[in-house]
Order: sequence, then structure tokens, then C-alpha cells
Amino acid sequence: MVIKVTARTLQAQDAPLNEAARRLGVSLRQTEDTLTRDMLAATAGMINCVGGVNGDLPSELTATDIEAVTTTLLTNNAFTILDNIEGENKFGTSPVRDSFMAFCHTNLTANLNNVQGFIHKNQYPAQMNIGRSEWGSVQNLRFWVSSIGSISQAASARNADVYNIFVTGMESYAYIEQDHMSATFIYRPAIYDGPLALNASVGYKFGACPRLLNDLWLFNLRCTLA
Amino acid sequence: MPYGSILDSGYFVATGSTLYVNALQGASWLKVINYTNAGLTPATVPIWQIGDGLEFNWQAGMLPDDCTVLMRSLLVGAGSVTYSTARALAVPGITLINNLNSSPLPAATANAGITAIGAGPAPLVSSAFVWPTSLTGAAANVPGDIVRLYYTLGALQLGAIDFTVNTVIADTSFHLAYMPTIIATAALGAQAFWRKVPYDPYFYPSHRYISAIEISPTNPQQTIVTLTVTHKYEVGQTVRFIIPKAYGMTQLSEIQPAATIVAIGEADANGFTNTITINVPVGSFTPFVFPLSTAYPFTPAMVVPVGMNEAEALHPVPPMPPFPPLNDLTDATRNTAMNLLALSAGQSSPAGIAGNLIFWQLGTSYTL
Repeated sequence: MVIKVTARTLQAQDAPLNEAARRLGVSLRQTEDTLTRDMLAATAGMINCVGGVNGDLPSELTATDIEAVTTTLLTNNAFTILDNIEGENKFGTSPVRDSFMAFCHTNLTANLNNVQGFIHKNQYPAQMNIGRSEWGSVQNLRFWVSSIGSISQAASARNADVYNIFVTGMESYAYIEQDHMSATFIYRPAIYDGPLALNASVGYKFGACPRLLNDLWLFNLRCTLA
Repeated sequence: MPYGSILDSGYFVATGSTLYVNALQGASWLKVINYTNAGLTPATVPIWQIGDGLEFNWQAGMLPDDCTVLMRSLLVGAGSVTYSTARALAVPGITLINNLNSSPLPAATANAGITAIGAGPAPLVSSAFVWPTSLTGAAANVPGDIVRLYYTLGALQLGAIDFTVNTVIADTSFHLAYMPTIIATAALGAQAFWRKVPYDPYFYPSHRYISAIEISPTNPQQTIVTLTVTHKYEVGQTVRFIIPKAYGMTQLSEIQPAATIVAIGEADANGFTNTITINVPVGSFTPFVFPLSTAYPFTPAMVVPVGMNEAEALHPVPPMPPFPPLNDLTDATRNTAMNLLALSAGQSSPAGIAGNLIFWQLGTSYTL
């Protein structure tokens, strides 16, 4: 991706370039996330949620569906990624099991709140090693949400959007950077960007390949909204 | 031309078929000139013909299979032209193909509903859908398209599963090409409808749903697996199976080591050839039975490609095809995303008729 700073802004290019760099940084990481997300949606095995009561297939997320995917991963000898958080003598907290990581869309947060046994992250006994994107945990899954989480549009039996929750064990997938093609931020001042030195440009490029390493250690738990 | 555009240009000699312009950097607009037609005059041989396309313009935001069209009009004097759109003239136009989004196309109207699903292999789906049959772009229905069925009461086992279709009869019916006989348990219901899925997921190889599994009639140590959507797997790839209890054959589910595809296209009991043959005998397993509607809800049985059998790839055992060795990179996860502009062929369409010399200019704009 390239952003061009035209001659109209060239005399004060620092501000637009700084802003462009910030935007490009977000764009770069979101592009990497999107590629990984779409790879997982296309190639990972899936388990439909069927424990809900909304009548759709898949149904809304329930504790029994989380049990099902957890059992499958454990049976396949997948390792959990996150350590347990020991219980402490603090009001309103609850110990958290060692967990697989579950990545999903922010639209699922309301559903997660209603899943039996849900522990919001502010109820964890210890608040270190908790990401801003984390929402909470149920059983052996800790959920991380993103506005670019995976959605399969009109993919349920009732024409509803299906939310893909990627439940991942240790080393189940990888993002493989190609030699000499790690993400590169490229700035070309005007004197190098054109024969008349009219434009400056900033951009990034990268070459990488997301892929599953072991399909037994990662499942797409599919659900609809309640 | 907007300041700061990326421009690309080129030309081609028309073949009479749809032609594609690569728009890797995106596409804001496309201008196409039929240089052959533009140079014709009443005095040249061949002379101009009514309807000869001259210039075509497409811009992001136009409907699929559309563009503006400048063509020779019904009048005979020099300079007599018609300026209209492909849709208004009912001729094929230009379609942006971006397979990043494989979401189903909208059902055009309530008449996209399904009125019946028949018995027998490759069930007949009756649907008086009213998508314009003149369309040839992304919205048209042709054999090989993928459809997804919804609200199929009485045949709930088909809901949300993708199927390749064949024998499409416009505004009437299509067949689920690789689906065995189903048993409906009740009336279909008035809500049933279908939507077209325009593209496969853009990462290859992707998973596929299973419609049947049976012992190979030619080798009982091998198994034929039939898939609901045309697969693109190759011999030598290793695959894993997810077979939920509703399908019976749970012994094959997540079997280790993963199965290897030893042949493709072997006909199953229904004569379907959208199959893979694997090196796992299933004679002692519980039979695979596609669930009935009453089993709803369930997770569909599926094939998950997981890698490559290097031994099979490098040293296939004759007479096991193919021989000589396979490409051992066919399992590689590949990003097949594309951004193309499809130029339809025809006398009044942008890709012209065979032999026409076509020039094009493509542009997209920077943003700040």
C-alpha cells in the first residue's frame, strides 16, 4: 500500500507523513490479520454450535459447544497456550483455567456475556498478561475479540451471518514471513519520487504466508447470534 | 483523470470469448476502445455494421455486467451512434471480479424461493427464480455454480451446505450435482430459498463438505469420498476428515495418520465423479449415511486438506496414477485472491468479436 503526499502539502510534509505512517501501520497489521483470518476460515476444520435455542444451524454459542471443542482439542493432544491464573482472596474474582485462545468478532461480546460460566477479564484474580482485546473466559477458552473478526455472511441454515471463532492450541498455525520480505516501511522524499520532485510517498510491502501447522490443534467453532 | 492516479494500459486482439484485465492495484475506471470498429467507414471492407461497439466506459459503483456503450446506431450516416448502457441495450458489459468476498449474492426477489426438492440422486430443486436470464456476468446461473439453501423445512439436512449445481433450466430448476438421494420428512415450507455463492474461499486448498463415502468397487482397500462442491484437490495431497455422529462413520473422523488422495474422479455408486479416492479402507467402519432432516442440527461432514504425502508425491507406485512423480507443492497454502475486470465478448460488448483490436486504459486513484 502506498500513500502519496502531493505538492500541495509538500512544504509541510512532516505532519501528513507522520499521520500517513500511523495509518499505514494500522493498515499493515490489519492486512496481516485479515489474511490469517481468511486462511483459517477457508482451511480449518469446523464445529457447528448446536447447543443453543435460536433454532438456527449453527446456533448461538453455549457452554456445551465450548465443552465440545475443548474436548476435541484435548483429545487431539493440543496444548493450551495461556497459563492458569490462580485464585486469590479478592472479592468478585474467580480463578481462570489454562486456556486455548479463541479469536472472534466483537459482535459476539454480548453473547459471551450470557454464556454459562463466563468470567469477564476484570474478574480475573490477577490483571497482568491480559490484553486489551481480551474479553473473558469460559472453561478452558479465553476469548479475544476484534472488529475484523471472521464472519461468513449468510452462511447459516436461516440465512444469518455465521461467526467463526478460531479456537487455537499451541503452535497450531503460523504466519511465515518470506526471506527478505518482512514488512518494510518505505519513505521516498520528493527528490527521489519523481523527476520534478513534486511528490513524496510512503508505503509498506511484505511477503508472508499464513497456514495451518496442525489441523488437529485448531478448530473453527461456528455460531450465530442469539 | 484525477491527480495522483495509477494508470495502466494495454491492448489485445479479441478472441470471441470473455477477456480479463488485471486490476491488481484496484480499479476506479476502465476505458475500452474497439480500434477495429472505430476505423471502419461505409467505404471500408468490411463496412461498419449496426451495433458495432466503439467505446466502453466502466467506473466503480456500476452494476455487474454493465458499462456505458458507444456503438453504431440504426442510422446509416457517418457519425450516427448510440450512447447507452450495456444493461439498457441488453448486451454483456464489464464485471469487476474480486473473490476476496465470497458472500452469497442476494436472492433477487421472493421468487428465488424453492418450491420443491425432488428425490433421486442429484436432487432436482424447483425454483421459479426471476433473476434476469439475459445476464452473463456474476449474477447469471450456469452449471458449475455454487448455491446455498436456506429454510428447507422437511429437508433441513441440506440447509447451509454449499452445492455445485448442474442442468440449470432458467426460471425453473437446477440439480444438486453431487448429492445422493435425500429423504424429506415433511413439506418444504414456504420460506425455503437459495442464494448463489459467487466464489470459493480465496485460500487454496480449502475444506469441502462430504455427501457420500463408500468402498471403492475397484479396490476394497480404498475409499471413494464424494464432495458437494467441485473440488480442486490433487493426487498425493493428504486430507483429514471430520465426521460427526449424525453421519455414522465416526471411525474415519480425524483419523491418524491422515489419508492420502490416491485418485480423483472415480465414479461413485451414483455415477458422480466429483470424488477423491483415499488409501483408507472403511469396510469395517460404520456406514456413512447422510443425515435425515430429523438429525438437525449437526456439523456437516467435511474434508480438511492438511498437507502432502511426500513419499506418494516423489515415488508413486505404478500403476497408481499419476506417474511419473507428482508436484509435491500442491498442498501449499496459496492465496488465490484476484481483482479482475471481465470484459464480455460480443458485437456491442467491450471484448468485441474475434479479430477486433481492442485498446484499454485502467485507472485507480491514490488516497490521502
